[in-house]
Amino acid sequence: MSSSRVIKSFRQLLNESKEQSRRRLVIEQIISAMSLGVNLSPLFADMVKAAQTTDLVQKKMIYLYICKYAEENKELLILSTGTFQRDCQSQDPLVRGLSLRSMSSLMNKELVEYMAREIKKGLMDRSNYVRRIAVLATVKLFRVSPELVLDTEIEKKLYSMIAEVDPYVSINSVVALNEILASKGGISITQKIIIHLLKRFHEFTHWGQSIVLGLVANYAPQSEQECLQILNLLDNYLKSGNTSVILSVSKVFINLINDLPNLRNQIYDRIKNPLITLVSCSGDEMAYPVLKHIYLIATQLPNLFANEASRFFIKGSDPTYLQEIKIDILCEIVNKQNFKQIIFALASYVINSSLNEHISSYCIRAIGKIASQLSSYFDMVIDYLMEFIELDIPHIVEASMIILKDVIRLFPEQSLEIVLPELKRLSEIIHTEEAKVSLIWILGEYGEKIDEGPYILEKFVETFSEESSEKIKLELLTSVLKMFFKRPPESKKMLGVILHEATENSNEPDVIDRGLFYYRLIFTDINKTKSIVLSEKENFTRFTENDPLELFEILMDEFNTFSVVYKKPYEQFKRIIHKNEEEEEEEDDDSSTDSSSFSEEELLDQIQQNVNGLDINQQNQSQSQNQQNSQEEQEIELEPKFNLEPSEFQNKWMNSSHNLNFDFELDEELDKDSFEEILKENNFQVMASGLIQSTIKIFCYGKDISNNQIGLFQLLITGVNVKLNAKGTNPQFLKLFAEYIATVLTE
Amino acid sequence: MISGILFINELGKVLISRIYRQDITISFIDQFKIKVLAAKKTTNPIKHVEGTTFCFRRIGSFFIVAVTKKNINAALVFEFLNTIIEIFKGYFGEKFNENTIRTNFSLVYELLDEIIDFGYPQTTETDILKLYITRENQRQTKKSKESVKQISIKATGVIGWRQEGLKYSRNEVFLDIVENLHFLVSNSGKFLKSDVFGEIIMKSRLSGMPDCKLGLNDKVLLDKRSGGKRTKMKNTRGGNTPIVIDDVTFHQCVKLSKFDTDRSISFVPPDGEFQCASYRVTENVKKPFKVIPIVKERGAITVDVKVTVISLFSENLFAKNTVVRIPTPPNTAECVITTQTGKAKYDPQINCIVWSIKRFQGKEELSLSAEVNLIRGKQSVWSRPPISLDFTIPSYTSSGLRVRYLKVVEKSITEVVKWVRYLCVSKGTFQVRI
Repeated sequence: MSSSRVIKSFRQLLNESKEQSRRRLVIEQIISAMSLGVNLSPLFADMVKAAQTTDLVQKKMIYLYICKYAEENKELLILSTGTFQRDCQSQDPLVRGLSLRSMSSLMNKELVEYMAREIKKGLMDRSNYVRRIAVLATVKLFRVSPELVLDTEIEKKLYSMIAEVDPYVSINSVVALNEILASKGGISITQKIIIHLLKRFHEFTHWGQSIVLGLVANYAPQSEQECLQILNLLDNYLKSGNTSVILSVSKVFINLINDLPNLRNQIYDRIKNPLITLVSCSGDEMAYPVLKHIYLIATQLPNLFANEASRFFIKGSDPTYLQEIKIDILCEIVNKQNFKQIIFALASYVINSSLNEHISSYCIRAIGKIASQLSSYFDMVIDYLMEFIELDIPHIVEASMIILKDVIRLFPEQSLEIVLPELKRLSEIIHTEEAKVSLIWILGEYGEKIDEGPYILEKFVETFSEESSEKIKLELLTSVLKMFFKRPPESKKMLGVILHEATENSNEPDVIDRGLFYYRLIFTDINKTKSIVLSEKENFTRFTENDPLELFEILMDEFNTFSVVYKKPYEQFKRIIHKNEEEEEEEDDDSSTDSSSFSEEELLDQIQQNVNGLDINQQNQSQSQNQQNSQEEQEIELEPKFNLEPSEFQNKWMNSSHNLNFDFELDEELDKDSFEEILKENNFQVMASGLIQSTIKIFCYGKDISNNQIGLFQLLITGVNVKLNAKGTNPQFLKLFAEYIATVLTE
Repeated sequence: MISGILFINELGKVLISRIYRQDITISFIDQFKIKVLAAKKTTNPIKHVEGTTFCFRRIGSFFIVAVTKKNINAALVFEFLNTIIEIFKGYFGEKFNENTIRTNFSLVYELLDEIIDFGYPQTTETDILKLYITRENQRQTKKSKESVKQISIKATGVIGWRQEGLKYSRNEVFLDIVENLHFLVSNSGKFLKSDVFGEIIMKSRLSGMPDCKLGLNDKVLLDKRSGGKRTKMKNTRGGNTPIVIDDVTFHQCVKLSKFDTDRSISFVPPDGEFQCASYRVTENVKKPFKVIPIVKERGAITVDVKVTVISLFSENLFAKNTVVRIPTPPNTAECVITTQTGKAKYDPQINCIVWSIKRFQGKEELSLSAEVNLIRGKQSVWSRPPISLDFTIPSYTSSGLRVRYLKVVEKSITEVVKWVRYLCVSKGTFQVRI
């Protein structure tokens, strides 16, 4: 979409607004349009010019603008250096800081010399506000040209600035060095630096504290005594009101365990309570990463939180993501003491209708997982599962059957005693696909142990042809074949039926394939088939592999980062930034414009309204301004000696894509010649003119210098009434053109 | 660190975008729209898309999103988002919504520029920010020279959260102790879960740089003291029985090292309101109410409910706006309710009998009985969710926490008016199994 009118209007407003408060409003509107996604890049030169204001409010906004559009206006950027430099000399530290911050944010190669000079000055500035900005600006300079920073005075200066009294300067120096030296593994963490930072730890903001703690976590204390000192000093900060600080202290503590293995349990005990409190006291969003960290610790130290199970019980008001992670934690911390409590809680969630289906299935899976961990209680688990199945709520039955199948696979001997007698009843009450598949699997695997086993299967076979689920059909084929080898007399007929149905009357290729495969197998070698179908299965004791210790150790190393939240080492989810960023950026602009569905007209109106809102109070000024306004509004300037051949004119007249009709009145009546004269004075070219009765008819054209647009028009003048018919290729231009004609004639 | 901050509404319209580091491009906002806004399932507040992480918090109809490329500390990001929200609320009041952002976008940009530089959080103390922010008071175009000077002095100070040179003609301190109860009680009255989450909120209007010292009836502290000769002290001081605090966190201004050595809470408070401490107590907590539920299923179509609620706190106190929610089976058709006090009615939307009592005096016994008629037909199991209570009890703490003293030391202050209030609150978190 072209926003040329918006830009034009802004440019004009900028030029005409002399009074500060009005200018401020105009600039505010520009920033507003910018955040709406209008591309205001063409205003760059005007805005740079406007930056010479003394009004800090305007300056801040203009610098924001400059930073945003600097990329697209590289060639004009040099214009702004003067302003930046002047502002860096300002008396007001706020202006110096602002200028330095903005200039360095441009990260432009052309400006690198100016940048370096001002940064060096900024580092020595008498105001700590400016110094702290200058410190971070060194990183930006480093990004543009590393050689100006690395191994130079700047680097040395930064090290010395860590010792500054101002806590912001000190912390910023640490982060700046850390970034600049990233390729060398970050800032060199010496004992001296650590002692210095820890000594004044209380002075820093929470953010600063978190950064210092990040350094301490990477620091290898020289002696056990030093470890203990750090431990004691930071112990207080487990009471900090800031989650980030508490987690960062926890990380330091965990890292110190390597040096103090005998204190391992005490250390974990220290961080346990603060973490639990964080879960209950913070908002949902914050609780999420904290719970993820607790989960990580719980996977390796389940007993640490075993007595606190009730803290991880879910609340109806918890969002799903919290409910899930809490259930995960419960699965990890379960032991013989809290088993009943946890299972009871999970079971109550399953049947609690106020929780969503996803969570109740999740709980059933959790119950199955717990059964695999504490084998001695599996009978209780089976009882619960059977109860769930009888509830006859589809999603619960489904999940329960799957878990029941898994529990049987884990503890076949013991659990079959309970489940087998129930199979017939179960086969009558379950309806859902996955549940049926599980049931059929159980029947195929163990159904021979009960008398009615083959007959239950037979019931399913009877409805085989009506069955719509491919999954059930496939499972049934396999189960019937298994049954055939175990109880041949009762199953022979059923096998015949199902193979026939599968191969002859099925539509699903997979079902036909499997049927044919079994068919051929049996005919080739029946004994071999038996050994294949009834092959010994390996016993297994857990469903999923425990997370390898390795992963845990990596995650512990990356404690207090997103790695723990994603449960993945950083290596696995980081991505190198694309090289074709520029391309992407181009795309962005389009998309951002598209996505913000503003209408140009509305926007113009709004801008006009907002800016004019001020005028109500200042009518005197604005009247004169309005007059100027109307003069300046027509920025159309026509080429004086532009000439079109009559045929060209005719051609254009016939083929113009846009047409505009416009009526207006003149102040006084004029004759044909004076019309032509006015038009010629304003560089319009008259193609033809004539008088039909009392109506003057003029064909005319003109070419705008600035955008090379050509406009054609016809005037029909009767008395003071003028009918204008204009033609051109660009509707926006056409409108301006028509308005221009009207103003020319009315004056 | 943080590569950018976005304000984006539910419809995916970007209200404000401020990018601090060039490692992300605006096209990533679209990723947020696709992966979070357009996703049918509610996702967790940390979303990873191709090496970029979005951390977001919803506020009414819009989201504040922090975007980063680095593997950083998630808690810091959320603490920071929370802080931003607090700052904006400080500027715009509680009505911090899409509209206020739209009308104040330039102030929002200005704030975002001062609180983060190149992705690193800088000043986030509202008091200090006021010195940098020009926009707040539009009429005052030229900052007073004094405030310019302060910028240099400020921030150097160890006390970053308080502006120097405050002056009040009347010095006042308000302390609010608010306890949120998270109780789960069995139908026989046994505690299954007893968590009290308390907050100490201080609101002060004090001149100068006052040193405050707050004394609580904390068991560790009193034991320490009484270790010597003054064994009787805990009984003489207004009958304070010491309590055991499981865990406590403090505002940044509290000198933690002092708390560690002698359990005293001393601090120079920020001006205005702030949360001084939050704590958790689980032992020896008192129940404000005893609830005796009797729920009998009579046949397949009727359930008889009788609930008796007894207030256990002193008769001088009362609970405000007590609401007892008694769940009924999902196939409830109607409830015939009889009660002497308060209003009660069946709410089919939440499947509960809602019984509200405006003022519940201490040491009082109220009861409600109801006959719940069920819809005949498909019988489904009733999970019997717990009864939940809402209430607010002024001047009462479940943990027994008391403020023993609050000392304010500052040269320029001669007299301080101190107010201490206690409040015990449950918002459906006091639950009784039936």
